[in-house]
Amino acid sequence: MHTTGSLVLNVLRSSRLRWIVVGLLAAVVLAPASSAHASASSTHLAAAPVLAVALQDADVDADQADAAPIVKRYGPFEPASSYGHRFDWLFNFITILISVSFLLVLILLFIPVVRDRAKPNKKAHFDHGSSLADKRFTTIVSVTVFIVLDALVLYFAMIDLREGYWNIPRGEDELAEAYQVEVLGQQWAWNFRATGADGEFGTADDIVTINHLTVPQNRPVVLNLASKDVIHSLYIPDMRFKRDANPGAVNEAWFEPIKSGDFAILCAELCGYAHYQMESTLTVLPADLFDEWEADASIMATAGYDEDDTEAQWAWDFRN
Amino acid sequence: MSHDGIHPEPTSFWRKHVFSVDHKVIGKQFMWFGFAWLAIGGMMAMMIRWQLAYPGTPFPVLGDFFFPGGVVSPEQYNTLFTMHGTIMIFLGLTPLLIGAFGNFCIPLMIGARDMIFPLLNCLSFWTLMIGGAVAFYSLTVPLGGSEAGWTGYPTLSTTVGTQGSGETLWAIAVFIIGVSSIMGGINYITTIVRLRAPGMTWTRLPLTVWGLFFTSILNVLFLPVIGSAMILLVLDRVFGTTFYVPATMAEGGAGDPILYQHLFWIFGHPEVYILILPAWGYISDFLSFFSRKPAFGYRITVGAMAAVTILSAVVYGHHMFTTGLSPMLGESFMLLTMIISVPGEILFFNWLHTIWRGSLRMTTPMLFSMGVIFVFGLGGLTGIYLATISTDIYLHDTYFVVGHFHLTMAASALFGAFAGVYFWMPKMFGTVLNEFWGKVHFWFTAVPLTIVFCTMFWSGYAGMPRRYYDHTYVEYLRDLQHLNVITTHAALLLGAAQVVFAFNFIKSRWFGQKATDNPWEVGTLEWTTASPTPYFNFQEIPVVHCGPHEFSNPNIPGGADWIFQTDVLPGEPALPATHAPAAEPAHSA
Ligand SMILES: [Cu+2]
Ligand SMILES: [Cu+2]
Ligand SMILES: [Cu+2]
Repeated sequence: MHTTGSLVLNVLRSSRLRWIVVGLLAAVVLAPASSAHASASSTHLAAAPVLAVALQDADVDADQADAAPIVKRYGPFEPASSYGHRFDWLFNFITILISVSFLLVLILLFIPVVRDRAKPNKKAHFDHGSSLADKRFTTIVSVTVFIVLDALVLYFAMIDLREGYWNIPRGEDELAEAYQVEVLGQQWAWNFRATGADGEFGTADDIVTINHLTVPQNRPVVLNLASKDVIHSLYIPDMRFKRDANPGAVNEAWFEPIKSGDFAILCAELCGYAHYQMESTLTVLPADLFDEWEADASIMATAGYDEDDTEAQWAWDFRN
Repeated sequence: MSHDGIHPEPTSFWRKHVFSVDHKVIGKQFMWFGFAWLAIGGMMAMMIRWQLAYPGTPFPVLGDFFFPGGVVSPEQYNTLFTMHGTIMIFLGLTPLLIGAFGNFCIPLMIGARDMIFPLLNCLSFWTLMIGGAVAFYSLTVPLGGSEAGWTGYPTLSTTVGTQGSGETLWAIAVFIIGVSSIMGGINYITTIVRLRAPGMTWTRLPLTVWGLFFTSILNVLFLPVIGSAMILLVLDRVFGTTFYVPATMAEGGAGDPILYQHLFWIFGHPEVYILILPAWGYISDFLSFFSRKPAFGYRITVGAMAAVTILSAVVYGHHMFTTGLSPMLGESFMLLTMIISVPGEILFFNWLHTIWRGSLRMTTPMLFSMGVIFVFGLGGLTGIYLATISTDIYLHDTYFVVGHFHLTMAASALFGAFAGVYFWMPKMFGTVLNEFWGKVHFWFTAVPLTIVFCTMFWSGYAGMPRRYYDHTYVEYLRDLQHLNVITTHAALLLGAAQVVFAFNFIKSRWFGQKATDNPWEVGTLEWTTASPTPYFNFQEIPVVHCGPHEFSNPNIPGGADWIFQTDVLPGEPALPATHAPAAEPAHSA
């Protein structure tokens, strides 16, 4: 015990060895990143023997690994909505701004650490920083920081909100052009309701689906969201879309898909123990395919319509 | 000055160590209480991280004691993250940062013999003890503990979403803890206003005291708000009222779940500053102490803290951008939130200026103080993404938010608390914490902690929602699982580093090197008295003649680079006593 202790002691005292320890530390932590998947490879376990014991008999989701090849990802998929690029652009812009700021902080932190260490007979520079010049300097720095960091971001964000996120189609013409959907969250499923071919809610051909929403490409999709029980939040990462579905109030939001295909819908607000299982699918169809689908779906909806089944008639009367 | 008028020194065991009214004993009680709960909350974090990296596999060693088959169930997982948040904030960091150091340091640093209301002080701790007991008991009830998140949003937190008494007990616990914080806050504010020693003017207060002062103001103003939110919640759950249950539901209410969100965040945002302001105060002092330089721009630092205190009350809406706020309200909150970055940036500017051209002593408290600059810099700057509505919409409720608030309110507050533990240990217990193991503790905390929360930024940016029991259930999140594994490994290492601290603390506390009266060579009043501090703190109430940061002042005689606040700087007149408040007003009455 004693020798181990003094070894560790010596290693950490020597400044060059200290970096080797930090490197080893990073290696232990980052090891899994180099393996294909948590369960697909056990190479990282060698680096973390404590964990290996507990994992020996645990075959982590091996069947999932068979089902789909695991791709490693460090960012979101390409934006699939008309305003999605705005998020990506502003995110990158802020990243650049704060990276520069943080680098500056680090430099100003590390220069004194290296240069101004206490030495015998060396006194610190005596300065209360309370002169008028200091106050002026502080003011200039803070105004500059506010303009560069905050005001600029604020300006771009306002444009994005006005032209994008909050530019919800509302007028009669705009709504006629848009595809309207009512979303009802519940524990633990998403109910979707569209007008069907007749363009009116609350009629026999309303297309009601669970956990699957089909929308047209290149047309604004206007969503009205509410919830049956607890708060849910409709999250479509590829569309850069998120809006809460509250019980007792209707929330309005929109997005315009510019890519066709299937996309994930999740629930972002904690809604009980199966919160993580509210995965649904968004299917975006090109205009011609969508019209076909809508006509078929309306016919099927009309055929299956049951006037007495009030449970299924959750179209909201706030529209009337 | 005699000891007459203050409570007499107790002789019985109970009055001395358990129901003590001495601020130093109460401070230590808060400290042990905070440590115990940090350990419990930290263990919960390990369980959460284990489940996220290796979903469905038994938690090593301890799993069998807590979970059927050793595996966390979805319900237990929700309880784990709910209680992790509640415990860390209300029972871990608050008692340590505010309870322990607030109690211990305020009277000593302002030159008083005790808090102004010693009995209220004792009551504050034992109320917290009851709150902690209720919170602990809530974990053991038949249907399990609270599962609605530390934010406890209705209608999930009403009987619509959660059955059983766990959630009710959680709300009652939060209420009781709030009462304790209010008692503490009133005591701290009054003590700082009324009991400052002669000559201890407002501009001679250590910045530690300023931080605790602003925190106390926020405590007194905003804990009542969450208290009322909790009362309404308990009424809804137990007595069938419908403050939070809307008319559209089968339960047929007339309330609004969004009302709770407003109440919660009116408290919830200031809570971030309740935790961070004391830490800012400590490190503002420590950076000056260990740079042997005056704190740069003292008045501006205090002004910035005051500005943050005021602004914190009007920015809470940034937690509700996806809830359905009106666009105008949303934009106002976005602007106000952005404005808070100005005082924040001034603090950084002053801290960095304080260490510039100093004579740096890289002690453990200094390392942790610089650690606060690092983690709060990272956490504060990433806040810009979340204050901006158009980027927040995508990032809200993802791991990005988890990374952000852990860096700001958890890591910064924790680093501030550790800096305080290492710094005041000699005065509290009369022994010195081992510096070598302190530095090991720092590096093995700082490096994994940075990895933990930076990988969270990454996974959140890639679209991983928070509070998911098993991310691999969702197909597209499976390619992000490797990020979860990295986070968990780093978190386990971070947890292990705290064991190093625990051993160091216990060993140093009872077998450590005896401390001298002023081992750090600083001038604030607590170092003018013996280590550990005698019962009435000061033989005589000290008279203050200069500020707390007169380091390297060329007028200091004899080649030293520091003087006590009780020393008179040559060439400067001693402050007339009329500038100071009466020394012991309440006690002598
Ligand atoms: Cu949900
Ligand atoms: Cu959910
Ligand atoms: Cu906030």
